[in-house]
Amino acid sequence: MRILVERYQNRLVAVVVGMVRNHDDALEVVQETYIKAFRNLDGFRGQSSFYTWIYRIAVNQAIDLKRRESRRVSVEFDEGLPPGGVDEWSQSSVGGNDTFSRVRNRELVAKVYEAMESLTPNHRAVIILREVDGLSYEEISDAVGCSLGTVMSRLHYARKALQLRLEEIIGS
Amino acid sequence: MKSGTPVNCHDFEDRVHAFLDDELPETELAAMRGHLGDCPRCEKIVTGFQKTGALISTAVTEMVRAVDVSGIWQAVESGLDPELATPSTSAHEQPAQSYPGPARWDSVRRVLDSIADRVSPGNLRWAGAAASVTALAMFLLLTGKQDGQVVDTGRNVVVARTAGLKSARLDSLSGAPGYTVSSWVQPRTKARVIWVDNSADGFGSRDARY
Repeated sequence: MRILVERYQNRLVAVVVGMVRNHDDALEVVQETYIKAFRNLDGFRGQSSFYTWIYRIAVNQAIDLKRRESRRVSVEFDEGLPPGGVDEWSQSSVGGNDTFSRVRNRELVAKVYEAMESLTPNHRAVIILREVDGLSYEEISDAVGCSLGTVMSRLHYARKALQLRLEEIIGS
Repeated sequence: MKSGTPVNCHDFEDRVHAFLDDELPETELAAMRGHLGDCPRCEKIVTGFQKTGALISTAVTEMVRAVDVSGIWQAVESGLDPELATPSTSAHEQPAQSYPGPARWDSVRRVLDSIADRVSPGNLRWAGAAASVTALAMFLLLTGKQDGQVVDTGRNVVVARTAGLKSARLDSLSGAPGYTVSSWVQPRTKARVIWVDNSADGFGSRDARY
């Protein structure tokens, strides 16, 4: 089990952090995904790969989390610690070797995430599975549980919408 | 679009995503490439989508670099072990007067209930001592099979940390009147903090509210 966790954890985190934006939420979703997967191994029928099966659980968990968040009044306790996510990342300034590129990078990441927030969770899942993880249409279809046609139309819509929102950056 | 037939801009736009994602048969790919070489407009469309994809990939990759994945296996292992299981819902979703579910907590509940029956505003001193005993009992129960440690002991408060990880949200549980049993996870240290408190305001010296 440990091997399975460690084999896919980075890729799962990449997909989930793209969907939920917050580091701690992403970790929680990934952990819950593995727990749910291992508790329901009977439900894995081998029709898809373990990899797309676990992605499907992760994507659903992330979508559920976003829906719950939008419904409830968030009650958080952080002992004064930053909650993680883009803002925290901005302060820690990952990437780039000089101040200018660091500032530029953090602004860029924040703008990209802001643009992605404008998509529905389903559209976000599809674009991230394709652009970040490089899954094929068939694998995405397995992972999100929709038809190939739906994958294609979601990709089309998501790319167009993001391109429009990121026009300023892309143009430059 | 039929395989091998010339591609116009309309055909190209229809298939641009499948083209970008390498989802076309080789014959169609060749026709699409042929059109792309002759059409600056379609080339611009492709470049725009490629840049969008690269931006998304870069932004997510940068975010992932800042995520510490080292504790995932440990958390999963704890989550799968029923002895270490923690409540799956946070306190604000639970009814008042409830305690955590796993069997281990039943003992804590019995102790708390027996003490709560005797607590009143007039015997707070006794309540303080009782709470300390309760907290100690709880600590022993919690740490019987875990690597927990007391990190802070006050007159009425015991805080124990465990290695479990579930959520960064406050997972507070209202106890009997005069008591608060709380547990939460610190996002940075991944430590689960269990806290039993019967101070007058119900929250000891920490500003934990829900």
